[in-house]
Amino acid sequence: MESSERRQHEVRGCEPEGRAESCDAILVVEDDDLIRETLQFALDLAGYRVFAAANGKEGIELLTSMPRPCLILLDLMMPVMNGWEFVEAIGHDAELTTIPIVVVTAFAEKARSIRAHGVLSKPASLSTVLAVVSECCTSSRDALT
Amino acid sequence: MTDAVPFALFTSVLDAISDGVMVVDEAGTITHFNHQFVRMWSIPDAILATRSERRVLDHMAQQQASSKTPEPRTLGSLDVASEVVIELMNASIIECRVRSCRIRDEVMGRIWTFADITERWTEEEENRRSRQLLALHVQQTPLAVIRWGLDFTVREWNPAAERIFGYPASEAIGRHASFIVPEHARSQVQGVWEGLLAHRSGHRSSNDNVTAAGETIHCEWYNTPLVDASDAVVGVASLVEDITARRRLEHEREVLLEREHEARVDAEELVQVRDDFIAVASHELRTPLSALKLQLELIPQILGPTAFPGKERFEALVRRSLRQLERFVGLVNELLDISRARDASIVLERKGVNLSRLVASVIEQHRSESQAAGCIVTADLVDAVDGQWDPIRLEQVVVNLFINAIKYGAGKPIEIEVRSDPDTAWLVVRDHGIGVRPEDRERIFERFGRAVPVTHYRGLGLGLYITHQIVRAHGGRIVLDSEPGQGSTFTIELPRRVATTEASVQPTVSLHP
Repeated sequence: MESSERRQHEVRGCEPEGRAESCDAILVVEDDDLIRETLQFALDLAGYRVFAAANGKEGIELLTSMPRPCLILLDLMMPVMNGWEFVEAIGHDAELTTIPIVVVTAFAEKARSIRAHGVLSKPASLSTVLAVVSECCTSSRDALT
Repeated sequence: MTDAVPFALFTSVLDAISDGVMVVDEAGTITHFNHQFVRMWSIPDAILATRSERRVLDHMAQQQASSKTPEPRTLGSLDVASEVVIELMNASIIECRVRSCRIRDEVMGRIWTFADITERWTEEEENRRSRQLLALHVQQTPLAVIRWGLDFTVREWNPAAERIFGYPASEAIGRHASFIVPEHARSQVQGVWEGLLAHRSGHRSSNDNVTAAGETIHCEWYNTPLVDASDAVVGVASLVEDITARRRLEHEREVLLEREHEARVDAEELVQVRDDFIAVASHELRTPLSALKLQLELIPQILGPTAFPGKERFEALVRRSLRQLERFVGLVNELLDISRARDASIVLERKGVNLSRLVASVIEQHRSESQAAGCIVTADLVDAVDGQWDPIRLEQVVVNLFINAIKYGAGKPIEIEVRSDPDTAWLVVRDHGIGVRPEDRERIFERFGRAVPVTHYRGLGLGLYITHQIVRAHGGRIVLDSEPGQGSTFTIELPRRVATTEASVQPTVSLHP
């Protein structure tokens, strides 16, 4: 992991319950198209099932239709519904609120107030992202090995 | 009535009066005189016996010290019906008069009278002197001196009054005060006047006045009622100071102060705007960088393990691109830090941090850079150097010092030490590079302070400033020991726990010779 983003890397670890059996679905909530698509591509390449939303509202809608994700990668600054609002919204749902969230943001300090399992600072390196994800999810590739 | 009775009466009268008297007939023979005369002039009996006016006058002339009358006269040269004031040797002042004596149109002789006016004269002298002194003051003083009659008209008007109000005395005298009081101040001035007449108040007042040119000025008035012997007010004396200029200066000063304050507020706002902009810009820059970085990192994954011609070279290029990206990200981070660090207080999130482990990890992270620069790194890290510090910020400090050592000490060894005592931890980073000149020692810790030309060394000049801020926020200090051409040793001293009076710690850069 690069030190420049490790300076903002705090992952308190995903609870075993969030990782029941083999869970490989990930929700990516990110308004920047390029970052979102690249993440999707990278995670897919790594063997996960990725679902992507461009803002908090889309994210909430996706949650109702997708399999329960083992992790949500969440951006903070988004239109329509931002990261803080998203966390608050799923906080009302007893089920959704247990899903681990890792915030990926350019403003790590603003994330301190969020009830999240971890914070990654943009630009995060691929290896860091994959490492964090693997702590919470089982990839289909892992399942094979 | 016989001649004898009136004559006796006459002599009694002569002796009763206080003046000295000498009566002389036409021929110059003394016919009558009184005791006071003899005593006043100390006339010896011998001379008296001669009954000669001439002899007596000569004697009197000898007593004379000076003449007080405008044209100096001697007694002997007195005309009939004239008077002179002379001072005697014994300091008495005598008023001498001579009148011709007529009886039924016939000139019978002369009557000399002498009055001792010493007391009166001295008093008058003193009065005269006081009046002169007063007149001098009144003429010379920069304050206007105005005397008012009971009808509030001008009785006296000095040169300063002429200057201040613009009216010569000839025009001012006799005029009612309202000629120098503008309409809006009249009732106030009237109130002051009435207070003065009633002895109650008004001794000092401040009001607008108006000059002959129509200009409004502001004056400070010092007023004194003038009273006669029975304590009744007979007029008022005023001293007046024109304070228009002073007030204007004070007003200007206030305006200047306010403008300076506004300018300062504007400047601070501008700085805030700039800092806000930097913060937003940094955020905006990080977004595309994020995508770029992920994509570059994906390339090896996409290429897969299979070899192909030029693969190694291509992968090396990708790695170099990634490093450039890292450098860019580093600059953006610095920019963002600088706008945050501007506020005096950096908020620390303290946790238990193992400094040795942190330093070891930083050295490891930057191994490729130190190797590329040809710096052999030796680390002497004592175990279990822990403390309550902000890990993210502390890592920034370590990285900054290490990167600087690599940058400015390229090709030379770098030594890093971590040691501690129960209360304090020390981090020492030593390089053998270009060193720091004495005159640059303080500058390099300032924002954008650099000691090297921008053409030779990269960087924004923010690293040491941020480092200093972080160390300071922890209650620690930085010590720089450096010799140009010999290298630099940076020692960071950190209290291991929060000081109970953190605010009182005044840490900064300490400069060793």
